[in-house]
Amino acid sequence: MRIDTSYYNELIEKINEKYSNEIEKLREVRDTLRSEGKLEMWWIADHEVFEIEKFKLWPRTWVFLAHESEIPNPGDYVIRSIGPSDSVIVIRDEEYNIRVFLNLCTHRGLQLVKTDKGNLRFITCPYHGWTFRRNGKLVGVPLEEIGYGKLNKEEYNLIEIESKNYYGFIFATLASKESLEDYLGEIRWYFDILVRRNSNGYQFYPVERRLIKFNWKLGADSFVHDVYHFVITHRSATNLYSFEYVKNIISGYQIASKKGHNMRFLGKDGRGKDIPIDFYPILYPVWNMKVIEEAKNNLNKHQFELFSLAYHISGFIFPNLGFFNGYRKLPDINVEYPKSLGIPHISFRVIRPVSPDTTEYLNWFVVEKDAPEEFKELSHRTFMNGFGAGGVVETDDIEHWINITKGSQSVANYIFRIKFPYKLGEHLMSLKDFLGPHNEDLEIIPSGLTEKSARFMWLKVLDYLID
Amino acid sequence: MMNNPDISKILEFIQQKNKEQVDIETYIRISLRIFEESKLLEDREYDKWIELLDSSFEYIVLNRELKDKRENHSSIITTPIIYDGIETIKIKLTRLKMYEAWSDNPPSKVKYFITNILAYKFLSGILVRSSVQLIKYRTTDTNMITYDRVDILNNQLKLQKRVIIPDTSVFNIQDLTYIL
Repeated sequence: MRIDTSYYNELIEKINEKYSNEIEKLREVRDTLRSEGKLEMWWIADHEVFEIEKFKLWPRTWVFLAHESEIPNPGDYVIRSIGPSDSVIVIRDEEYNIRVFLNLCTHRGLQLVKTDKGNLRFITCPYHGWTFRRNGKLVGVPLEEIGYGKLNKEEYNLIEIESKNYYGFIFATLASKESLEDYLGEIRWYFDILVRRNSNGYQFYPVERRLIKFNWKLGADSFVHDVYHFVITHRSATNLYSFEYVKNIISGYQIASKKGHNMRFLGKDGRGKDIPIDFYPILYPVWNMKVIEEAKNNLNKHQFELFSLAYHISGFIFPNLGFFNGYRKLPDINVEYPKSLGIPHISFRVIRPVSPDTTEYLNWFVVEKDAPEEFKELSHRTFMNGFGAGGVVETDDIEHWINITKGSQSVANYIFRIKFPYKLGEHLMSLKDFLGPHNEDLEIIPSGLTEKSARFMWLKVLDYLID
Repeated sequence: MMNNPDISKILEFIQQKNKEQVDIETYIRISLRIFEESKLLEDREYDKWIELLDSSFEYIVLNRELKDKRENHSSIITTPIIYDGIETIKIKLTRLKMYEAWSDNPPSKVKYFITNILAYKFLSGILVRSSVQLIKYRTTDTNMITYDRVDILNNQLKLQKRVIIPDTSVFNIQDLTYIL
């Protein structure tokens, strides 16, 4: 659905004028990151920069909104947001297509749906009663003939935005000029190893949502690259039990995209110390052999080979989708070896800005739809125990994002121009020959320990704000 | 996995009209137990708190979503966002004592404000429903959430199950690592 964006383009010009000083300073930030590999702090949770992001970044990116399993039947919908300000209705129509509409009435601009989720036969505005079908068509206008004579209802259908169902994952954009495929670029080949490996698709459990006091980019920074933090940040979780493998952080590959995306496959050459190579990938051969069979059928030979090397897969799709496919032990599950090694689990996060220092954190547990019920329950428990709101792992990441946000707002940043290094792994050579594509926008780093993806991600943010 | 009674049975019971309340003496004992328990949690006396639990204890935090009134479904989602048995609860509480539990170092301070305590005879034990406001001071930040708490006690007042039903669909809090 291509729309006329000339007014939006004019708005961008006005934003460029209004914030010309900030944008000039951001240009310096970008130059410093490119030339010195150092990132200035001042702008991370800056109020003016947040405004520039609102107008220049969020509308022009593709954002993950929902998974098709959340809305299986016609009329099922969820309400989600693009960036800090744009609420959208993600709804399945009569033909089972998933559509994304702006969550506002075309009569008076009222936010149409105030709930989180549900099923609607019609969408009726509570102000004057204009009524829309699930496909967005305006079909009911109270007192239509008396009030309007002839009303061209076609003109007032709900405003649909461009969306794409990517193997069950619903992405949408307000004003990107690229297709989703071009936006993802070469990382698709690697992302597909997670999203396409199972022909029956995934089941997203109900989302857990929190409002937390950190700037969204710090969550993005962690999900896009950070393996280095595992040992120190998660020391309480590793010392208690069950998260030993994170100590083996060097062995693996980081797939760093200049478009701001990343995929990590940890565990090449069998150096994940805890589990024998026979139980790769990610203990699935131990728990659910069907995952392996499906992956063999749905992935090509090289994708399957890369999947098979991993005891941990994680990554990030720019600007705010993080994901994780690893394993952990649960201490109260009495199962025999090799199941006692741990339980695989998958989860996805959306890190959505609300204000410069507040972020909505959406967290989904995800499992193969056709997995045995017992496995689903154990995998869900494993996820909750580590990565849910009450878990022992991710809480310590979030604490650090909160404190960097606070640090970035100190006045000292403007006085001392404080910069931090993104130099980890700088000495490593990118691979020239690899299983998957890496021609234009990807670099393959043969280690978990690299910040290359983070540099690309920050540069991408800056590109959106400056250009 | 989850022991009986399951969540749906508990939620169903809560909706029933003719629930039989416990006698006043038991009610007072239960109320005192709840206040005593909160004090232990506030004072981080986790080992003593564990002693109040039955060995089959289950800790469950549910989720909620905003639903339209026309929909027949409850806005409570019965798929938990936290599920712990006694072993994992012990580990989580051990973590809270650790220096390296960065999200709780320096330790947060919490206060439980508990009201509307109602206690009913339920199966072979007691079901206690209360409303809780939890305020958590995390360094310089103040976090607050409110929720319904449903406790299943045996006749010795050992806690067999705690089910938390949050009031909101979005938690305005950094994490839920403290016992609710």
